[in-house]
Amino acid sequence: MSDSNETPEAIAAGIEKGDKNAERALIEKYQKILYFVLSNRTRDPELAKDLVQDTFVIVLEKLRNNSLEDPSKLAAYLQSTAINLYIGEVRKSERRKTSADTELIESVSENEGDQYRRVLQEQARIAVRKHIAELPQERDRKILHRYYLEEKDKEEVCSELDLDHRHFDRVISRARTRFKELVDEGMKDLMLNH
Amino acid sequence: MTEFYKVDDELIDNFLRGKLEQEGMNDFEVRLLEDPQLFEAVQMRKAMIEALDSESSSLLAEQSEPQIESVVVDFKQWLRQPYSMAASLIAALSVTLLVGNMMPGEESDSGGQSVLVASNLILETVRGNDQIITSSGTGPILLTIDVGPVSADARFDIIITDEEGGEVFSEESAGVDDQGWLRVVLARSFSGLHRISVFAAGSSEPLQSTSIEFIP
Repeated sequence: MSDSNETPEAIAAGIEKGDKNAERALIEKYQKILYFVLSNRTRDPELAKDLVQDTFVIVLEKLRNNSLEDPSKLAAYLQSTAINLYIGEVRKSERRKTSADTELIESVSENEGDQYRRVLQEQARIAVRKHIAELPQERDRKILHRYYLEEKDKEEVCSELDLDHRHFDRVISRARTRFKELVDEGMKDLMLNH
Repeated sequence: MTEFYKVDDELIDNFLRGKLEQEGMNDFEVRLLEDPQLFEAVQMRKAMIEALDSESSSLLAEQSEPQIESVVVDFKQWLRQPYSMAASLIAALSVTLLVGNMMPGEESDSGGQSVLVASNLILETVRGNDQIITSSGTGPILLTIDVGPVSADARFDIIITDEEGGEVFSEESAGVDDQGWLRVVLARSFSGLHRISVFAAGSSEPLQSTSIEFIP
């Protein structure tokens, strides 16, 4: 059985020996994060998905041939491969080519990750609504809006709202903490009710 | 869900905003791949920002519920005397006091605002940390906190949260009198378990925090 908690070294060693479970473990361990990283870079979910697939094709090949110098740097190798593919603007036709590994990569279900994302999104909306309702000061709500949605930096927000930096820090810090608490509570409730 | 991973929060924000330099971005992405807890924290932040975005209209909307008003009042000697001598750690009195007005015949030295209060809640510094204090009385409540000897220009933030941790009241940069008493009027009654925290102005770490069960 594959184990995504395996160390990079163990995964690399398994793949080199031809262990299919190790290959599966590699994909399970890194697929979701790699997709997140690439989505953040490309802002294009479809392109990110293709790039994830291509990255695994290259990395699996490399590991099977034991040509990765330092297996403990597997994460760095995955990242640089993925980003190089992105920067190099891989030809779309090549991205979509069928590889012997495609089936394996696609067989590793993303359902679990997708489900978690959906639940998190829903809980996040509930948490944010609650937190906004808890904010007694209109100015504090403005801070969140300007910093997170208008993407203004701290200096700018403080200057516009005539704020002390420490007040800004406190509102932002409290929002992050409270949000996490509310999401955790929501998640716990969900687990208890199912 | 696992414990929230304590990382540089600003780094996460900058990553999600695409504001990291190339090298910093690469390093952070490698860390994400190596550290599932960091990944979780980043996912959480991203979800928060997306949720804020979807709720942006309410973020900018006027608060529909009336805000709890507060008035920071000047200290008056005639008010302080009876309570400072009290041996109890806390006194919650259901009395009606006119704070900010002078005693009959006296001339105002502050030009202060008149506030009719129905209860006076005094918090002194020496008390058990985990003690839950019970307070009865209706609002408006004159909240009097002993912050000890501090410089004349010291300023404090007072925050009251409800049982679920939601902020129900805050007053920023409140001053103290020369005896170290800080006074704020809470313009309404409270009910249930709350926590009163006092911060040095602008700080995020409370200097003092006390649980209080309000019984209207």
